[in-house]
Amino acid sequence: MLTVNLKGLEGEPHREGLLQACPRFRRWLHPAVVHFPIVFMWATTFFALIYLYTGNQSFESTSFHCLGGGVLTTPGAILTGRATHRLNFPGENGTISLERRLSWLLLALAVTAFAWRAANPRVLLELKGANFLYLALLLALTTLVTVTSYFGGMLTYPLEATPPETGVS
Amino acid sequence: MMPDQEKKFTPGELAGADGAPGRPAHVAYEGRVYDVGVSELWAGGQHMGLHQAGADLTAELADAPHGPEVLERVPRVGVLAAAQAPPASASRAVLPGGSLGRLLKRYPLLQRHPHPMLVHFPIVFLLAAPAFSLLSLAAGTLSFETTAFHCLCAGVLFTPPAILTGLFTWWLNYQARPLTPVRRKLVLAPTLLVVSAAALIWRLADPEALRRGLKGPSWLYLGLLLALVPLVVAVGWYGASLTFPLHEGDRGG
Repeated sequence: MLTVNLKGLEGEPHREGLLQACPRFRRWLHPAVVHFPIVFMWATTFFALIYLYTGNQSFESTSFHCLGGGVLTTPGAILTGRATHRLNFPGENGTISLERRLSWLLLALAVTAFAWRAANPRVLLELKGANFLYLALLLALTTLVTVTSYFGGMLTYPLEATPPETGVS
Repeated sequence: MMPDQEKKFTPGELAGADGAPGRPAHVAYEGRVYDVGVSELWAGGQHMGLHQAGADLTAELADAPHGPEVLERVPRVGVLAAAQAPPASASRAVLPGGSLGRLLKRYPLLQRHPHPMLVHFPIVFLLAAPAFSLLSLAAGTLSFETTAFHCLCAGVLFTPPAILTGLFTWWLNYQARPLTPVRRKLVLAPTLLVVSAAALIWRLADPEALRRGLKGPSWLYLGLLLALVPLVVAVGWYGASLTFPLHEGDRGG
C-alpha cells in the first residue's frame, strides 16, 4: 500500500491530511501551475509582436488578456514553488533561490505592464516616446520567464554530465 | 580506483548510509554505490521527497525524468556486495548512430527537454480557449471571444510538434516500450488534435459561432471547446505520471 512521505510537515496536521488525501500535491502542483505563467507571458509578447507586424488590433487585445492571465497565475506558481521547495528540497538551494528572486521580478514587471496597459489602452497602438518602454517591458517578460523556467527545468531534468555513447541501439 | 579495489558494501551497510544526521548518504545503481551526500539535491538523504538514500535505486531510476548519468556528478565509493544487480534501466537514453546521435551528444538538452518544453503551449492555449470563451459569455465582452479564438489557433498549431517530440522522447528515452501512460497518450493526444482542429475549422467558417449567443449549433461549438478541458487534463496527467511517478518509493517519514 502506498504511504505518503510527510517530511517537512511535522506538526501541521491540516497539511498532513491534505497530503495524505492527495499525495500528488507533493510534487505535481508546482509543475502543473507553472505552465500558465510561462505560456501567458510568452503569449503576451508574441501577440504584441504579431499586432506590430500585422496592425490587427485584436492581437493587441489578446496580448493584454494573456498578460492578465500571467499576472493572475504567477502568484500561484510562486506559492506552489515555495511549497515544493519545502517538501522536496529541504535546506537552501542556490538554483531555487535564484528562481524565486527571478519570479518576484517577473511578477513586478508583469503587474507594472498590466497597470500601464489598463491605464492607457493605446500604449502599444501609439508606439512612440515612453511607450517604447511598455514594449520593452513585454520583451523583458519573455526573457525573464524563459530564464526562470530554465532553472526550474534543470531541477526536473538535469542535464547529463556525460551523454550516453553513440552507435548503440 | 579499480573495481576490484573498491569497497564492497553489504545491503545492510548500504541501508545504514541513509543520510540521517551523522550518517553518510549512499545509493546503489546497477551494483555500484555512489555518495549522494555531496549533492544539495539529496539534503537529509532524500531526493525530491521520493527517493531515500541507503537503497538500491536501480529500479526507481527507470521511472525518473533523468538518466543514470547524473550519478557521474557524485563520487563512486564502492560496489554492492550482493551480485544481484537488476537489469539496466530502460529509461536511459540510447543514442542512435550517425548525425542524429552526434547532434544529441553535442546538445544533450535535445535528448529530454524538447517535449516537456513544448507541451506547455498546447496545454495552456487549449485550456485558455474554453476559459476565455466562457468569460466572453459571462461578461458579454466580445474581445474575450477573439482571444479564445487566437488561443485555439495557437493550441492547434502547437499540438502536432508536441506529439512529434513526445514520440521522439518515447523512442529515445523509453525505447518505445508500451508503457501504460504512453499508450493512453497515444490515443488521447490525436483525439485532442482532432477536437481542437474541428473547433477551429468551425470558428473559421462561422466567426459568429459564439458571438450571437448560445442557441442551436452554438451549444455544440461550446461543447467542443469544453471537451478540450478533460482531454488536456488527461494528456497532462499521464505525462506527469511519467515525469513524477507515484509509487511505493513514496515512503512514510
